[in-house]
Amino acid sequence: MKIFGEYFDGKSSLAHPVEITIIDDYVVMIAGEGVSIKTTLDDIHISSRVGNTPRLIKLQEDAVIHVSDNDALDEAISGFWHNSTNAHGLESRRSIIILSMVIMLISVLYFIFDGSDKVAKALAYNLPSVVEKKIGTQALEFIDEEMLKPSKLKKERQKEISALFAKFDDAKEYTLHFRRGIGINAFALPSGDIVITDELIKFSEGNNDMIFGVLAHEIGHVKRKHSMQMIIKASMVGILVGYFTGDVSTLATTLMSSVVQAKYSREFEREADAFAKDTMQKSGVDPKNLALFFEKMSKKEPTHTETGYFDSHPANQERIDALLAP
Amino acid sequence: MADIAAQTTQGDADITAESLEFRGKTGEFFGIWIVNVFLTIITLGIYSAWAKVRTNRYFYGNIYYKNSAFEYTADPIKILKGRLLIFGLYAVFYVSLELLLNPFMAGIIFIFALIMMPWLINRSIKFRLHNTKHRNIRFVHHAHSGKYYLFYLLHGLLYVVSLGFSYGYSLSEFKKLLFDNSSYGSTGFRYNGKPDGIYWQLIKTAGFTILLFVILMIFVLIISTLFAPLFADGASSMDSDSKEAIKKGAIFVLVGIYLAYFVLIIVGKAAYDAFVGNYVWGSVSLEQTRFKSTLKATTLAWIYGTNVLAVIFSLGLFTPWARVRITRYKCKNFAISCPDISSFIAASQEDATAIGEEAEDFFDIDIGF
Repeated sequence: MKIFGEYFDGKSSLAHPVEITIIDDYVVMIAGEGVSIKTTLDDIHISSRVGNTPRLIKLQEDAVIHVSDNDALDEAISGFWHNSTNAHGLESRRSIIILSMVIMLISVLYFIFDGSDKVAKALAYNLPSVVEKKIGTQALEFIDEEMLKPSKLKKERQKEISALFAKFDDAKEYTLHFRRGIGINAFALPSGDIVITDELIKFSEGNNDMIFGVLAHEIGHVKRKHSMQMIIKASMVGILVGYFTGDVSTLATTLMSSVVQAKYSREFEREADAFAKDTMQKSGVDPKNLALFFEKMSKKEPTHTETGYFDSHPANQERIDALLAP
Repeated sequence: MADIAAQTTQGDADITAESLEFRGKTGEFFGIWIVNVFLTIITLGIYSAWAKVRTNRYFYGNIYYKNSAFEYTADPIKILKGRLLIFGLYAVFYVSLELLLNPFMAGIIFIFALIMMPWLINRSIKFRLHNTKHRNIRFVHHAHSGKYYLFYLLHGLLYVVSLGFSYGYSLSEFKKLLFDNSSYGSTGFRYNGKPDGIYWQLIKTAGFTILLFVILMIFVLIISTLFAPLFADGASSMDSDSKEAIKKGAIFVLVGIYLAYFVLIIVGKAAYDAFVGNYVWGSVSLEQTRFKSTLKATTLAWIYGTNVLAVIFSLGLFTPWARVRITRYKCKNFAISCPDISSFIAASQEDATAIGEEAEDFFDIDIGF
């Protein structure tokens, strides 16, 4: 079997065309003008294959032969070496390539989604409070116009609940608003504005500890910057989508609605619950009252998810159990 | 020295320049690249050193000059060592700053890294050139680290004192340091460029970037004005309030700023690579051999820009295509006129061993030049 190559002695850049012959899968004869070498496969080193780049047969004293015909070379040495370096084998096998593609895409997607969570969190905690105030007040204005109605609750009852609210450690940083028109609900905005509905107050049937628990839960959302994180994430995706499609008006509406319709993740709910439980215990209120609220909500009607825009508190056993746990 | 240069410039007029030929193929490189990514992921990054070697071997091995391919001969273990060192330093820095809240220790590591920098850069250049061969002749970089320390100290100071205006001069001096201390075998490179030449290229770079940027922005403005009525219609049905429209406008502007920033970086880099790169290579000689880089800033900007977009929107899958594409363009626009490719002599045995040991006993770090 004959292979053609170019011999370089390593001392000058002069190329010598040579012919390589492998005899009995072992003896290597190299012959060309001014070159005549006899060696064995044990005494030479053949570089591993990378695509279709020339292979290098390394001889003694820096001499090298460049061989372009990869297939001929592979065939010639197949009897001696059973292809010890197999990266090329992987790189040219379709199944491996497809498997690699799938794994890479999964990794990239994981990074994008997980990474965006982390970025959102970091940003949310480092944003100046002016931004939070601005977004919160604007959102409240927007919702007030579009969906909310002024409270019809009696002044005394409002005062009673405000007094309840004042019991929180840093109550001054938050503002409690009474509204109605969106079913049994309460929500918090990044500015520290917390809205509670007449419907919810009525639903509590005079159990002030339950209301205390709900308010503590909402403060938990503010404290952990949950809505801010949601807004940042929504706008990250929105900017990307808007940039891609050029459709800016959808982008703007998604952004606004994300402020309003923030459906918190389970993790956020768990964090807010934990905060509420802690606060309740510190204030001498039994956390079971908040658990009771979730229980009552789930019993009330299975279709309660349709009752309001802000119903982002799917009651579930897990959360109730967590609150009841000692 | 000056009359040797003059003599050779006259002499080489009749030698035709021949472009580099790139024979790599997207499909073929895709297999290598994706397996590299896969093995790097499952080995938690360890394989990245081998990946780098295989990638470089693919690209070097597919660049031909006068029908001979280049060779990349680096040992992946050395690259891994370099990466582990950098990673280790960073880990210690991070832990002492963020977890131990010990800014003193972090500061010491930072200063240590800063002091090591010129040495590392020197070693890195040595490593890279030493591991590049053409026709079985190694490239060599023989400057001592001392020259690099002197350079960074002097030019760092100059940069501060001149409020950054010394950049062109420093760049010129760095190219001189780089080329005048490098050789192909025993034949030395020479850099004949002048600082005023570099400054002129930098002015061209700035001018081109600003011009193209303004043109693109005007184009974007026209497009957005054309779309504005549509956009206002959609808004008015949603809300009568003009405040909402302003909010939406603000988002529009925000997207525009992102876009402008992206365009500015791409165009700026393309212009710099084309103008400065063409000038520098035009000023390099290797005895009778001359180099000619003919990159066009507009074409380069187009390739860079579309490459970035293709890679982003394919979630990375178009990376091999982008790399093959840019390499093909750069090779096509890099010509060498060499009177006799067969007459270069390898570095003398003692030189080769000494420099080789120095280059090989350390490792490569990934610093861009």
